[in-house]
Amino acid sequence: MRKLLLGDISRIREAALEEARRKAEEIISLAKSEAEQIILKYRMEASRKARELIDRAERSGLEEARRIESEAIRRAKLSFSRVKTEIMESVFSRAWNVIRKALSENPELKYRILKELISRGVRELGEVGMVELLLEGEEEEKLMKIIRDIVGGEVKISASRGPLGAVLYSPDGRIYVEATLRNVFEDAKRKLRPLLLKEVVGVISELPQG
Amino acid sequence: MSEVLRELREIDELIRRMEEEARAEAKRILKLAKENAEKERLAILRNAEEEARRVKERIIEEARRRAKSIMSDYLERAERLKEYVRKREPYLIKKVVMEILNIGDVDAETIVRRYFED
Repeated sequence: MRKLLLGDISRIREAALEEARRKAEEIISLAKSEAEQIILKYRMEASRKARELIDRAERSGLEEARRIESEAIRRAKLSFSRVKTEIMESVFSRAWNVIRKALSENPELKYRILKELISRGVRELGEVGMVELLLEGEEEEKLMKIIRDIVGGEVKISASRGPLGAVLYSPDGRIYVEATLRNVFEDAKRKLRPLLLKEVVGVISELPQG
Repeated sequence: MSEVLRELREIDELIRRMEEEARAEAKRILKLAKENAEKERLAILRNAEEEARRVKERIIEEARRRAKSIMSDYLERAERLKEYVRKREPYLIKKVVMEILNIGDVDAETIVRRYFED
């Protein structure tokens, strides 16, 4: 076996240091690679969570937006419906005034209407025991005769103040029919309201559906 | 011979120290990487929260704008309806009068016209 000389030691030292340097570089290179992986992993995880946050916010925003729009449509429809009701009430109210004025100016028309009201009441009630006239003016005498022609001589007739018409009672007084112009008016309102609305609203396009 | 052994021990020691230093440096690199990654993660999430808030606000703002437009559209239609009905009022009243008084078109029109003339 050859003895190790100091010259040999020097070569060994160089080789060993070279190996140590290589190993150190490898350790650091590995650490750098691992560090890059860590950064990449954190970044991907954060990006995924960020996307989730934004998606959740978008969903929540859209839900809130739908609620806001539905509420606006609901309020708009409700308000539009109120306007339609107000408009129709105004038309009917004006029509009622027109009718009252026409009746006060035209007694013949008033008597005809009263006769029609009572005839209708008689048809509805069948047998009449008593008639209570509802009058606005002082025309009882003339009207009594008109009414007697319709209901017959045996029927008791009285008169009191009220909207044009009459209350007809059955002979036993247990059943009665209110044959008043006001009732006819209310019936007409129910019947005409949708027809008139259809006529006027038809020209105004409807609100968006929600 | 003892000189040689001493040299060899020194080499061993040097190699061990170099490896230790490399490991310490690697540890430092990893620690720094984790710190930076965490900082970046927090920054990404902060930005995302801000962006999410903006996205939601933008959507809601747009919905509020549309809601305002719906209400304004309704007001405009309501006004048009009122105006239309105002113009058609005599005709509508005539229809009611015809129905209630059970009279014809001409008679009802006379009654309505007289009312409006007065």
